Amino acid sequence: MNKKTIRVAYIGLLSAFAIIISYIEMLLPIDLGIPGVKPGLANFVIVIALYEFGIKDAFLINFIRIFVVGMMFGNLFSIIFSIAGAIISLGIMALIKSIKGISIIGVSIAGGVAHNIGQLIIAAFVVNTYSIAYYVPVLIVAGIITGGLVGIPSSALRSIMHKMLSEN
Amino acid sequence: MEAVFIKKRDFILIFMLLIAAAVSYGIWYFGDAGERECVVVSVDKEQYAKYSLLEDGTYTIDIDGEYNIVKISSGYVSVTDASCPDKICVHEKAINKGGQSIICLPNKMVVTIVKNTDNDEIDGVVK
Repeated sequence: MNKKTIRVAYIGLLSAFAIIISYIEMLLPIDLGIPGVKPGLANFVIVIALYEFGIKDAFLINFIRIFVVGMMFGNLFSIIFSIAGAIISLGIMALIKSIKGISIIGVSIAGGVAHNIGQLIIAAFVVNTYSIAYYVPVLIVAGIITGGLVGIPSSALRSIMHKMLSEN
Repeated sequence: MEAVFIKKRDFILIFMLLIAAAVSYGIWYFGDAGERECVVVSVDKEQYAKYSLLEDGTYTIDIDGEYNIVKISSGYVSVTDASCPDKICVHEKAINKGGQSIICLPNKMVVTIVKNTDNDEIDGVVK
């Protein structure tokens, strides 16, 4: 098989995986105590994709996920809002990833925080208010928790994947 | 490849983020928080109405067919009902401190507790 076919297959597989995770997250009544804050479990797939296939494919997978989930359960507003958050989050994750000595957990946490702060900044533009500064500390802490929740299994899965690949 | 688990620099990153959270909390706490008596409702970046935090009442914010219902009760402000699809504003906890706000993004509506800076007539609807 050529490389292009493998890449397309992986993007399809991981996109489907991310969509399913997003859907399961919707079904589970996960309440983090803050309205509007979700664990963002699909970021699990995005972080793995970022490490294994690079930023371009990770963005593509996330875009497909947001578009499909948005079309099925959301609206245009939620799609635009999610894409903006995804761009900011992925950009920051790629930046943090380039720093030596930071593991996938740190990258995931940075992504979680960047996603929250990014969406807050966009919200500030939409409603034109500074008063949402009050949410910043809450969203940073929420980002650390959700980023950590996603980062730990990502780290574990990656080491299992590499072990399996080296055994073959 | 060794089992990747959390590294020292991850903790440094978390620590730095926590400091940023503490600093931003401090900015809010020493800036906007404290005794405030005015509730400002704005819709699509324009001030819609201004109410007194000291007077109880329920107000319907009418936004071109969409609506949010703002309730002021013993110094607390909450959104009790809304026409937006996600209802995030309705699920927000009631606010009672300066600088706090409840936002409904789909309706572009913001309820904020502020200091009564100018001599505007409270309870006057500015629209």
